[in-house]
Amino acid sequence: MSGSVFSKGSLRALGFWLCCHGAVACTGVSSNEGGGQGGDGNEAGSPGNGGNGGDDQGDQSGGGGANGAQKFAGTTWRRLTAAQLNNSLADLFGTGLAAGAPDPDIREHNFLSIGAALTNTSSGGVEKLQTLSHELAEKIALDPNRRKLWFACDPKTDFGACVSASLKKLGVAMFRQPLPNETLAGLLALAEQAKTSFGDPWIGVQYALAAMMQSPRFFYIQEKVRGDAKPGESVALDGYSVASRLSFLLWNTTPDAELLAAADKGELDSDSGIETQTTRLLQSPRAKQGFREFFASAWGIHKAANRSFDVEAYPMLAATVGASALEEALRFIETHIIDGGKPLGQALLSNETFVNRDVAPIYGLPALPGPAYAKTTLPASAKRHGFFTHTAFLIANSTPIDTQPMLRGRTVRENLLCQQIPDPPANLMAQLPPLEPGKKQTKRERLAVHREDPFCASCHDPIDPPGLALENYDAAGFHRSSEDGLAIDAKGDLDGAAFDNPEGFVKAIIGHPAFYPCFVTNLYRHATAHVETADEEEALATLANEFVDDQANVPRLLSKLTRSRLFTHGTMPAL
Amino acid sequence: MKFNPLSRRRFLGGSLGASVLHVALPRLSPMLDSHGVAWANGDKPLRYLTFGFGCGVVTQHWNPTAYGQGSAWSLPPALAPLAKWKSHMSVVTAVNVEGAGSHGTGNIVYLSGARASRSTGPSLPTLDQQIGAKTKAFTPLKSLEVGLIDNQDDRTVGHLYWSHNGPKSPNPPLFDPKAVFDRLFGAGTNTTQPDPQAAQTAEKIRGMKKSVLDFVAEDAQRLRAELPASDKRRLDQHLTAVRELEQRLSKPVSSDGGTQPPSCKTPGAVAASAPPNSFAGADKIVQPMAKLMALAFACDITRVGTFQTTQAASRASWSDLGIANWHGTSHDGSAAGQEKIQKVVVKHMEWLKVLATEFEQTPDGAGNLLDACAILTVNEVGQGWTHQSSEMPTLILGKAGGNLKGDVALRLGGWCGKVCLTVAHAVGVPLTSFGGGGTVETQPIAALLNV
Repeated sequence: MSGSVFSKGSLRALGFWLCCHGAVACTGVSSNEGGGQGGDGNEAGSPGNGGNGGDDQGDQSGGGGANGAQKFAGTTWRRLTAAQLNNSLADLFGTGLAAGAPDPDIREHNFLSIGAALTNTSSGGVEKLQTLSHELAEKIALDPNRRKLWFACDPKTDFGACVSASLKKLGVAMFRQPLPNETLAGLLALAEQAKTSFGDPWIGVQYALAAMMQSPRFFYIQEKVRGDAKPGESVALDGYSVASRLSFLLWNTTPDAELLAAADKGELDSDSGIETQTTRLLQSPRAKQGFREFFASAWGIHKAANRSFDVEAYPMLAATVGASALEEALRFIETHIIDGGKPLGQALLSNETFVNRDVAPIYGLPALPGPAYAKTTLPASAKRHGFFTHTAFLIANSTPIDTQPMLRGRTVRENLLCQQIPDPPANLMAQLPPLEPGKKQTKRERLAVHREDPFCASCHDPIDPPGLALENYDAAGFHRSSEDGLAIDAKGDLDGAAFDNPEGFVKAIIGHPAFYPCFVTNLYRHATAHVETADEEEALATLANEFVDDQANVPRLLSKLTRSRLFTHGTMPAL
Repeated sequence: MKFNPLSRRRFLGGSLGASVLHVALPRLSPMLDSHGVAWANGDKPLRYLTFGFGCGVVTQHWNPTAYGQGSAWSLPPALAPLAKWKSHMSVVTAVNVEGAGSHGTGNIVYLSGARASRSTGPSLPTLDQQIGAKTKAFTPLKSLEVGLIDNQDDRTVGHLYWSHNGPKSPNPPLFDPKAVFDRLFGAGTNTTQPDPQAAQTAEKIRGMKKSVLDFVAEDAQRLRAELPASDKRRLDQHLTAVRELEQRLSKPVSSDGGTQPPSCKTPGAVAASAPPNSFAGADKIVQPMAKLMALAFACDITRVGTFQTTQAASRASWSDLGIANWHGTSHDGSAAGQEKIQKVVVKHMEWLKVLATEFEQTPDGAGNLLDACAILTVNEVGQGWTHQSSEMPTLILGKAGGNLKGDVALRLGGWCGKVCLTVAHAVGVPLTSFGGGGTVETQPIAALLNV
């Protein structure tokens, strides 16, 4: 990635890390960091299985255009996240079928999609999926309003033909690809067995439904390349796999009937077919689900939702302030970046945001009567400089009473600039030297020990300064010009761009050469549920350049991405 | 010793004879009862439990000041809540995880004896899963994981979970007592129906659920052929769980009347609750969770468990003590900070006391569950504020059916794997080795075991 202050993996190899939260510093180390039993680097998390087939790579034609010998990502096989499971069930069978996740979602490299492609499902999770499937199958099969979504016929009159036709249609929708004949036959046999056992055709249907929900074909999203490619060969994904990629990226749910029909008709084999569907999906109200999932993860603001604050330090804040702040941020993104289609950097500098009664006090605004959000241009007195000084981004890394400059800094490095920071060394003496009695220090002064010790500085130099640049905003996001009576110094330097205050800092982030490429990289990682390999970097860089040249317009970037070979092609894995 | 064996065990003894033979136990005398029968063969079940807690301790309050057997040692302040069971304690100090002591790694390195990364988990299965691999032939569930406090956000599998099947395979605990109840006593495990017609329907449902699992397993083989090798492994793990469910359903539903041991009483309904994220919330569910874990053992639904309290680097709050963030507090090594940390450690030991009390009150054979189990405390660090790797707070509570001497404090030194290997031996699963990645232990700690 261009613009990194250090190369990927260089610090990882040293086995160093930063201290792990805002109130501590690095004052000593063990004699045994790094190599021992507990080496703890962030392993490259690529779930892709292709790309290692042994073929010569030939010349690497970059960009989204040429096919040639370009290697693309391996295919993934990933389980539905909690949100994807719930959204899919609602889309398939109507709303109101509450379903918890069989296993908790696991986030890897910022994204749930990547965690879903790497993590094994536990025994407890499989059991929950079983329990859930029987509960929901009964609700669906015995509810005329739900079952009629898939059963146009009456199984009481012609059981075999009716159930067969209906399950075939439902199977494509649930499995996101056509049912193999043997699979359909097995489902029909189950339905027949249950019908005979209970003497009720709908109970027959119920058990077939339960089997479909328990099937790994439903619970995991499968990607396949087209035809009979050789292992290691990069070719186009089949149309159904493209449909799933499109739908889970843009809607965070299962493909709808129209998208599956497009796959069936071969329309997703062409750029124009994909463009048509991308446009349709982006214009749907469901696109909101997709954007929200991506942006909340990409910039780490999903963490804001869980923040609560010390009631003595912040008596004016409601327990729901974290969730409200995240909602504010997501509305901001929808309004400026998606619907408004403003250039990303310009959009992020806007102070027009959405304020409700929970977040109003943080901006020094008068109390609002109800829970509703009001579109509000923050006054100069709020001292804000766009999205990165609004509540969600600020509180995402706070403790209930304190800022955590190192975690704010790490978010800037990792989420906004895609610069990887190694995990902390084991046996870190994770404690600041004690304050002299009666002496006051700002965070910047306290963290100065990180500059002085070269061992600490190796990790803290990149992360402390961008965190300290936001010290004018306290744990809950209130503006402050002093900390404990001492003036806050928010000056700093971001990889050569000096700044004097938060406004300058925010501009330095957006102006950083890695900022737009990182945005594109994050989008690509999320969309394809894997971390790019070296094979993909050139094409990604080209896409990033096109994004910048196209006024950093995010909706158009999505359209470009979904038509690019990065998105539509994959490498045949070794089976 | 004799108590009424579960019909399940009879059934499994018949259908899974091969699995029973598969538990290859060397004929070590400490592992055999007076009839020369291996402990883990089902007649005298022993239990293992991981007691996980996060953010470290104050080492000087955890470690005893003198070592030895019986009156030679006395309880350190951190273990005061458990004073009643000094006879059941094995305290082992100076156990290390070789530089891995850190949030999200120390705990899983300790329990696996192998390399671990906080984002992917341990490279080998944790101790509970290694024991469970041997005991699952006798019980419907390989293991049961429960937790008291859940702080999900911004944490990795290494932080969040103490039980893993290997890399990228966490066993997340249940944080809601009702979910635990449903898993133990819900549909599919319900064994008696007073009304014959209800019993017949239950039997039909059981049969259909089994047919569904059969279909899923069979159909997945066709899918399997299309998957890359690494995804095949993930599917295989999923299908292993499917087969476990199938075996559970293979138990005859109607023939179980009156054969449960008296201590196995299905509790009444348990109310659902959201996962707690504070100490106060944990206080509310610790009792039902302890009860359910005791029942899981008493009813021989499983012989292996994990009881997590706070997670690694837990942000749990304890407002009574003015703690907004336990992890933050654990990094305060000042005198005042240490005083607070010690209070939190004692709090964890009070939760362990609730569990031990429940076990002690649960009859099991001629004694009680506490006599028949080994509970191992596992943290991710030693001293919290230093991320220390060399003094991992290690207590084994329980007598493991008499295999553990108890009432002993040992300054051992060395790699944590020795402790895990010893515990496995104590509960009748004499693994030939424990650990990987350079440090493999093959000899249990003789000083802890009755030979």
